[in-house]
Amino acid sequence: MVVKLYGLVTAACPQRVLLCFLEKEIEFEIVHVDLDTLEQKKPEHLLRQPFGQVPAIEDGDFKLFESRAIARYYATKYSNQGTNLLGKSLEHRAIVDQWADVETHYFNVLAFPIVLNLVIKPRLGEECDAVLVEELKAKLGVVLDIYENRLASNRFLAGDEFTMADLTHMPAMGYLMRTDVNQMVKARVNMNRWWEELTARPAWKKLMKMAGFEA
Amino acid sequence: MAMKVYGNGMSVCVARVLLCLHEKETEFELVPVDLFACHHKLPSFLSMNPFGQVPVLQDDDLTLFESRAITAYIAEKHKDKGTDLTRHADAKEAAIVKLWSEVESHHFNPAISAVIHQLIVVPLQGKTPDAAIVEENLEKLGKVLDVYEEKLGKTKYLAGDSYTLADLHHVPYTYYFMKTCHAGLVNDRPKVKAWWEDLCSRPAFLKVSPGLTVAPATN
Repeated sequence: MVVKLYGLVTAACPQRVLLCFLEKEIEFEIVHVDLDTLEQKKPEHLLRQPFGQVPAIEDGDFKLFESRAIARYYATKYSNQGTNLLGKSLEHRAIVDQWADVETHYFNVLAFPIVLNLVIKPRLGEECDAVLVEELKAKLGVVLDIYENRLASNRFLAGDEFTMADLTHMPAMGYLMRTDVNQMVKARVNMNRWWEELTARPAWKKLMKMAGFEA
Repeated sequence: MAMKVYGNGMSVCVARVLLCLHEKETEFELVPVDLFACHHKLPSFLSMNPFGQVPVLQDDDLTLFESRAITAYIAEKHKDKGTDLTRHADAKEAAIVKLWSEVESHHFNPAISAVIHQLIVVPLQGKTPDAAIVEENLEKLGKVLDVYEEKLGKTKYLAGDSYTLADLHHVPYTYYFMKTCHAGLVNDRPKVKAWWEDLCSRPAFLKVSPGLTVAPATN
């Protein structure tokens, strides 16, 4: 039986799980949840995800939500196949966790409202808060400087190899790079190099094709 | 050599790590960092945590920041002693622990930290709390606690029937929150209240809570 992912291929948090599936060569089925009609807020979906968000998974009787918890579960379950996303020793795993937590507490808190204002609101015909976006970009610049410094002496965030710490950034980065924030990344040599390496990965290319974002 | 934790007992994120160390019966040395003198912004500290925040853990050659990465490391390194904080023996149970830990990170923490920032940190800076921010985040926190109320009606703790990191990560901010005039958000939800009282009865909590000394400004 194949794991079912409730969500959609164009939304960032489901993309985090899909990237994990693709990197780990795990078969899956997407069950579409229509965000435009607020299907995620309806009773049937709330039983899967009580906060009314995507994604959620069902794997036989086993159910889970929170994209980072789902990705962690499958990366662990399939540790012997595909890309090793979790690190090779206790200490390396801790460094992977550290930079994955940086994504949650420093990067996503800025990236999400930027993407909301620059990408999602225009699509919904809502007004973007331009003042807020400029404030967020200034804060993001400070965070990206730290990443730039880290990536100057490390090929990837947790060391020499691609791990969950890098993967977890990719969905929001993908959206940010479609806005003028891409100038902030391109202006930083190491971040630019890192992003080009990440987007050259076959799993990312497959995901972008599935999402209809790439030829 | 005992692990070193850089930071102070009154810091929420440091307390998260101290709770874990006590639950795992692990020796450690607490190395104070003078935040008022901005020692956490000195190059010597930034070389350990480039984001300039406490806590930082040093364990032999490993230097680690981010309190939840630190608790996960301690829990795994010492998985064979003390409280089983991660249910490591069963992959699905471990995933449920991780799920509710993510809920704390993404749903609970942003709302409660915004309230505590306004009611405790802002007055310490000599400024007036922003009532609109408090109101907005109390509403968000209330909705999160509604989800918890329902979950805790089915299981004794967030991730099941035993105490795990998913519960532990909530403790320090909730402790400060219960000192504010908004403690009703917890006390008015019977299951959440019972869960909180249970968390406060744990020996590790009784060792760490005396260090959580900051108080909300009275108004």
